[in-house]
Amino acid sequence: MRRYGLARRAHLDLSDRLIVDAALDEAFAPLRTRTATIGAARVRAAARWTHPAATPLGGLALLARLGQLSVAAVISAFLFGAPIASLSSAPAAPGISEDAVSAGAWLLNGRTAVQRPVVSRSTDYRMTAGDPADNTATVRREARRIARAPEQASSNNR
Amino acid sequence: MTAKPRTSDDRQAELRGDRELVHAARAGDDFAFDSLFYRYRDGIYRLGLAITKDPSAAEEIVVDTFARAHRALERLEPDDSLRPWLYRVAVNLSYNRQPRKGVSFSSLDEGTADLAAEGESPSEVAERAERRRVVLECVDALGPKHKIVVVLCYLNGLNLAEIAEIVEVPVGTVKSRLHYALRKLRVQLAAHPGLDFEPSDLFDATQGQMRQLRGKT
Repeated sequence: MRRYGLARRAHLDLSDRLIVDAALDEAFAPLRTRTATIGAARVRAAARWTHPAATPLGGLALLARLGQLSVAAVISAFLFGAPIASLSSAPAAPGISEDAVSAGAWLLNGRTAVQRPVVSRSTDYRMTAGDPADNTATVRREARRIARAPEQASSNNR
Repeated sequence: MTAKPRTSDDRQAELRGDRELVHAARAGDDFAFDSLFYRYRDGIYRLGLAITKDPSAAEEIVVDTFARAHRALERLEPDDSLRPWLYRVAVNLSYNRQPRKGVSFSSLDEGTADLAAEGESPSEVAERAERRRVVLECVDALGPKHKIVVVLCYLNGLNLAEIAEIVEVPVGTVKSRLHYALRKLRVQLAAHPGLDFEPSDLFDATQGQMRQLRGKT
């Protein structure tokens, strides 16, 4: 029978259908023998892992949970409360005016704080080394004075 | 994981219908759920394998499908069949799964295609393997709507009503898609004359139409 138009385009003979059926059956045959190696336990684990069962807390479980929470609160208070208390009870740092720093009464100690210069007679090298050796400038000035002294004496004699 | 010996409970579970097993699984019977799993595991694995061509992805699809079923037991209608529901979930998971980058998979029948049947010569084995490869390539070349109908019908052996329920279209649409897919496959198979797919009038007609179209353009 001759077909035209849509009927011709949509037509599939029985013989063609049988050939395609046989080809598909043969092609899928190896795949039909494949089996999965998964156990049901893996599925149950996956189901529980993604959706853990939410069990309502009973009286004893609730008490245990409250006990756990109170212990956690005490430990937290102990750990974080002590440093905060020591901070609040620390003595206040003395106020330092900018004038005092610029005047040398306070010196930067090279880190982050200022400290008062040491002025004790027992520790200051200027005091322990005697008056002429107060510092190098004093020594140099003294030397110059001594050097000039003969010149001044001779000029006076003239 | 070791295979457990079959017990009388296993044999009883095989006789129980899906509906009964779903009811039992809802009531917390793990054994009933396991029975459902082992009943449909391989079919869903093959479906996932046919679509993704990746055995590990197919196993993940099986696990995901049944994990969803486990969670949805309460919502499942007891009178509905479980099989179309499971296959629908598996089809959606298979198509939503992105193929792994840089990984190419060989033919689905790898490993078993080259086993010679009794009295078969090596050339016949090679020809059979080549025919399978060509047919599976032609199935892969179909659009997803047509491919899934062919796979569900010829690989999983589902009937038209079940396929319609899985792909959520009327039975008439499934018939039409299957017919279109088979016709297209027939044309593509006829283009390989050396593989013993007999030449068909259909192929000649299609070639004639193509010549006419070329002549018009």
